[in-house]
Amino acid sequence: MEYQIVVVGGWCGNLLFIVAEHIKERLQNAGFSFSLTTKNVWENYSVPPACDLILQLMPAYSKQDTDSPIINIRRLLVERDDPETMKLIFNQVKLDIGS
Amino acid sequence: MTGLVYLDYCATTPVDPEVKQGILKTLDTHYGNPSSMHRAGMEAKQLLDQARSSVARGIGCLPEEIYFTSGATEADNLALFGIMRQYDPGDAHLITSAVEHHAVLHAAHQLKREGYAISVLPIDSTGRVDPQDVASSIQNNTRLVSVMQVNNEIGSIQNIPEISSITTKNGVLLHTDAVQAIGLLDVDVNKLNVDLLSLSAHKIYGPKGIGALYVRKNTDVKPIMYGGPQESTLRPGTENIPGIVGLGEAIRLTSEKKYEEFKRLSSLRSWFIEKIKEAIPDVQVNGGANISPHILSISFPDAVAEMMQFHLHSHGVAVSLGSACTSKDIEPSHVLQAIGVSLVQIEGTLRISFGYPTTQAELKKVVELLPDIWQRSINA
Repeated sequence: MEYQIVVVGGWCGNLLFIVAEHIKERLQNAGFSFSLTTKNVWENYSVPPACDLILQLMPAYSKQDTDSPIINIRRLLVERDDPETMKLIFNQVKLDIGS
Repeated sequence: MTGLVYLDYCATTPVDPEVKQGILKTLDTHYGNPSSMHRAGMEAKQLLDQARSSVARGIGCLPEEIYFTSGATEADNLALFGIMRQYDPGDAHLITSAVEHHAVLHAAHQLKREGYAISVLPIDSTGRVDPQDVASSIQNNTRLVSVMQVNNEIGSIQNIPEISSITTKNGVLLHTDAVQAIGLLDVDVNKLNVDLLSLSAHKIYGPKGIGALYVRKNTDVKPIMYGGPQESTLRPGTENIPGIVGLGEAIRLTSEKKYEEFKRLSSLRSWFIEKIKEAIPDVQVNGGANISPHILSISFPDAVAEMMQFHLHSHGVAVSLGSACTSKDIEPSHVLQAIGVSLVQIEGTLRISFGYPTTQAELKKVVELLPDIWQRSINA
């Protein structure tokens, strides 16, 4: 089954899409195979089911809510290629699905 | 709205039942055009005149000094463009503050694009303009100063009387956006000594889509729209009688209640802050001591305010944030930035605003919710 990434955000719907698209592009360019969707907590706050990685622009979920790894990507709101955040994302994806 | 704890009165207010009754009357039986020379028109004209008198009484001016608009944004635009565009760009200078509502700031930016000189005054950490900064910014060609009476984000109350003594001495007109002041503070154009003043109905338990600009007699203002003879040609267009009646009623009712409400909300606000600080000691209240009691800008340490707003919303509590969303970015409040609040702190800032219907029981519910909601909203 394809590796599922969910990018979680809030009422700045455009920004959520912009950030998600950027992450998708970066991971695709690195050769990873995955599926990426977005989730706006204001529309639906339930924990994303069957998801391998949660990237959240705000602290929507915690370890108490899900077994899926969660990465705080809020810095990407200000700097789309924040090196620290991107490193965390890439490292997690590599760990989960290999290079 | 049943069950909703509404704490966003700065954004808008529910329509008072008496105001609603006044409006409904106009929709049912007084639907004439006030410009028409028949009974239906004359009855509508009578309502128009009564509402104008009510608004005038509310702010201490003559009825003929009141011009109805579609809201305070239009009133602000009319004040700024109406004064400045009487002059060539090289011959007119506008002074305003860094914390004005966007209706003033963006109008000022447009004037700047048209070639007018604009000075934007800084404010101190409490959100106030130093009147001496106004004095030192006045030039030979300064035509207008625009400083809002109460800031809509942090509630700081400007020293309009002192600013007006400076503008009067220098022969410069003074405009104030009094939208957030009218429901609670003393808004008397002669005590404030202003030449122009904007107000809005929907912030004082009236309907949306109606406001007014006060223009001191013998002050020339150029219209920004053109059409019929209504509002002495300054603001043409068939008058929004339901809205105008609503505004007149709203001003009448708030004039009766505001002094007592000022005291009541002052007490509630102090209690609320005290209780929040007991639970979350490191919260920061933005703005100084001279704050309108209906506004509370409060920053929660390390929190993402939108997450707090979401959780409060899930519990039936409506509050606002210290940031706004644009198409490509999150825009931190220009007001909070101007008073020196850090971007991290702005991220954790809620704007909570109280109104006539706000009760201590409602605030108690919020106080009980906040600690857990704050914990869940920490940006780890």
